Amino acid sequence: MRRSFLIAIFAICAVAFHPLSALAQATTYTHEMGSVTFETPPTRIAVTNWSLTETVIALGINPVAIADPDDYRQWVVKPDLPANFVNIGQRQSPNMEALRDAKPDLILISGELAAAYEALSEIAPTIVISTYNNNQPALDSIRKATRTIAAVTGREQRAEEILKQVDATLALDGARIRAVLGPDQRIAVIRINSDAQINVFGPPSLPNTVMAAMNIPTAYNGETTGWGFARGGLELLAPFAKDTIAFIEPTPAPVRQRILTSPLWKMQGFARNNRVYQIPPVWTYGGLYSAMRFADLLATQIENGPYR
Amino acid sequence: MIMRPAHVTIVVSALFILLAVASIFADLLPFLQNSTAWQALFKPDETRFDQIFFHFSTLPRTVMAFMCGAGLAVAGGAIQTIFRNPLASPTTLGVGAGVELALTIFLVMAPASLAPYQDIFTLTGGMVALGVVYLIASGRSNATLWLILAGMIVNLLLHSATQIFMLFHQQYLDSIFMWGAGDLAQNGWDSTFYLAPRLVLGIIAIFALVRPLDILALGDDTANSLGAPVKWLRLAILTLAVFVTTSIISAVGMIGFIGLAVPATLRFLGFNRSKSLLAMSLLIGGCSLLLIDYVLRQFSGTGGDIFPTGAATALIGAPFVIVILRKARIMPDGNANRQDHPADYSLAPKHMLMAVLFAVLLMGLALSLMVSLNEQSQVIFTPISDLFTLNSTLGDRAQRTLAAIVCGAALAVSGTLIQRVGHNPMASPEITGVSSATALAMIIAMVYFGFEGRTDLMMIGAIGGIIALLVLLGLCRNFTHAPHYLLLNGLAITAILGSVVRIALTHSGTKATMLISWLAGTTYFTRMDEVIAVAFITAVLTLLTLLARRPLELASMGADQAVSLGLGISLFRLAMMMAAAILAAVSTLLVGPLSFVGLMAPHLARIAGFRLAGAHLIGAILIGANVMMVAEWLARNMLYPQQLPTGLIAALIGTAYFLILSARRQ
Repeated sequence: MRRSFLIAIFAICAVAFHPLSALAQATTYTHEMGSVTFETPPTRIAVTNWSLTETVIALGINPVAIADPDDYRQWVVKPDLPANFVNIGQRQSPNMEALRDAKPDLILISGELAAAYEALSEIAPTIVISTYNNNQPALDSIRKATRTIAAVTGREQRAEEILKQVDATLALDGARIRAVLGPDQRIAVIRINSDAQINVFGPPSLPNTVMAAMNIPTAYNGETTGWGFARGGLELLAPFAKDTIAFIEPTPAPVRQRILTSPLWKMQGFARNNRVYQIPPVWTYGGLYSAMRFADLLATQIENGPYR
Repeated sequence: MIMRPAHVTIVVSALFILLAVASIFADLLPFLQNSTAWQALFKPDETRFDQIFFHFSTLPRTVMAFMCGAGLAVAGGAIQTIFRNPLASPTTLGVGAGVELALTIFLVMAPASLAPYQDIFTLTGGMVALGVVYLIASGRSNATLWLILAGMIVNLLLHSATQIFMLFHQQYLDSIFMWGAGDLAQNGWDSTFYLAPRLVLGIIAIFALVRPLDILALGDDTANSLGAPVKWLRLAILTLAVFVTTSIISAVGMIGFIGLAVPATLRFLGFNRSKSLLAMSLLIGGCSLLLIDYVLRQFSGTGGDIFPTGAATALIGAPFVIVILRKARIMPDGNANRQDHPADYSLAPKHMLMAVLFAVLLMGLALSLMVSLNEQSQVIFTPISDLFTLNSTLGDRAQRTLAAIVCGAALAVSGTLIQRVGHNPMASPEITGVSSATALAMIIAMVYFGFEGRTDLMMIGAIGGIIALLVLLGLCRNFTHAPHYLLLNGLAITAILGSVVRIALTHSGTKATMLISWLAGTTYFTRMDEVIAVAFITAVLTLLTLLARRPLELASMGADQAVSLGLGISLFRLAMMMAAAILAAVSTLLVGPLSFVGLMAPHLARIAGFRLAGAHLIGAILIGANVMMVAEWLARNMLYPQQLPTGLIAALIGTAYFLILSARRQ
């Protein structure tokens, strides 16, 4: 007790009288599970989920450690991963040894890994940023997350550029979609899950918050899970007979085939009116680049014409 | 009150038919009101969604529910008759798990060109699983019990394999998971038309064989003396039953317990002749699944989520099994399994063996810390000096390896206690359902009440385990029969856990992958303070049981002898069982409920010749710790940088051990 007291006094004196302490500008950031302090902005960043991965890359930093890179290339696609990084295995349990080998000076995780926060903090300062699974509007969350990561890494200027780019892109893509569909056509965005199940994205989700920002009316505004979608059979789509449906890839080809040729799909209004669009892979739990990618792909596919 | 079967037949079947018809009418009601029922049933108006939905979803789903329920119940009835075992069924004998693994592999790996062979592939999967179960059980003095135990072991083995497969094909996880949970939702008549001819053929064929089935029901010797080709008849009927089950599982996924509960209940009600049993199974099985599905449909879509029928059926069916067990005195004499006690091998003098095991543990510990594999599977050495820097790779490895070793020891003690006190070499925390109940309590606390702190979860888990144990003991008041009831009730609890987990997972969205890896038993989230806490509890309880090794020795001699030696047997048993439950609970948090070490370590120790209680405990601890250490190393390095759950690897080792053991006995 006395010893730690002495150490504390010593530390305070050292900080107070240290000639450089005024110059070093140590900055402290508080986050969901604690706070971290940096003397200089961190540059070797390890990321454990894809939303954070793409945000860091968007800010112009190549992460030194990335989880599930192979699946990233299939589900998130853009932005491209850097040429060199350490593969740290699965997102839900990033490999501690590999992570240590990557020698990060900052680890970014989301709340899903909260149970490993302490262990990760021993490897490097760890910041917890949850952008999904909390029923918050996704677009706001990822804007905030981008700003936070930018502040920690000293890339505020780049962040402002991206935020401006997002506004411009969404406005432009919104206009492109309205030019084809008219101002009042509502869109429901879905993922095909299995032979009998689909996810319909709702108010807090990335697709719906992006469409709202694009000034496109959203079709599904009901209850959702924490991740922002409702799950169920094709009857979930019954209220959208007069609306447009966009389904997001990837889907196993036979499953897509069986769903899209089933009577329950073919006989619904949107299918008869030929208002179904196929959207190439875009990560619906991603960051601002995914938001722009979604807007771009939606506009492009709607210009290209319905799926057949 | 005993009714004559004839009356029961009429009353029961009338009731079920009435309810089923009522549910269909309830679905039709809106159409009857505006007199479009005929249209909705046969020729829906393509501009009216309610009619389209009724015709292409509700109607095929209802037909499907009836067909699947009927098929599973008939298959279950036939299997129960053949094995003369009221607890046999497609799901309890590993057929379901075999089909699940085969189909998962097929869906993920097989090229599109092989699609027409899917039936053959899955049928083979189901038959192989059943064959293995049968081989393990046949020739045992207590085949009834062994059949169910072998079924559980094979189920766990196949399930572990399926889970490992799923962990590494997460992109398909959602669809495989929904299918695994047994989803009856339909988008058209395709699946119904695919399934109908298969089921009709299979069921007709089974009905054509009722006469031979009745002869088989008399027992092999009688059947042989009547000149029946027992082997071939049995194989033919089993193949048909597995074919029916396989077709249903491929079409709609796992629907648990209909195939067990319906025929078992009917037999209990007095339907002993195969013909009436199967006919009633068809009717009651079909109607009950139809009704269960009707009720569940009313809840679907609440909170943006769905409620899978198959998992819910197991939830309803499993308690039923407990009731059947209590009502029907089905288990044979309580001492029959005594003859199944493993023969002793004198590998080496006991002290030598213990010293060797201990040396292996220490050497293995050092090696498993220093040696690892990298992404190209090359061997990497980490210098031992690294261990003494505070924050290091070796520190991480030590933490996880110690967690595994401590849990191995805890489970070994827990298993030894349950095996000795329960007079049953096949009992263990995993098999009696104590581990499952622990995990069940933790999952419910996590998913539905948002508990995150691991100390809280450990407490909740321990309470769950103890409650399960008390319930089990309460259900098994009659201690002469207790060993069997303990196991079979454990089976039911494990099944309830399985279905709750499936329901919880479909409700937790993307969190599912984390829950799966935790359930499979990963040491990933373990912290050193937890390891120390668990080690402390384990050490204290182990010391206490070692001090009590003499009464434990007496208790394992059998209740009668122990009582005559003046031992208050029930209280002592209760205390020992309580210790076993606490040990199981603390280790479940670290390595999940399915590790199987609690079964394997004491069993192996006994085979190695550690017969007296004290030596048995220490031998089991050493073996358990060694096995978990190896499992942990494999889990970390086999697929680096991906990490497998340690519990899953331990389960694979444990189940493989039992399969090899039983193969050698033949």
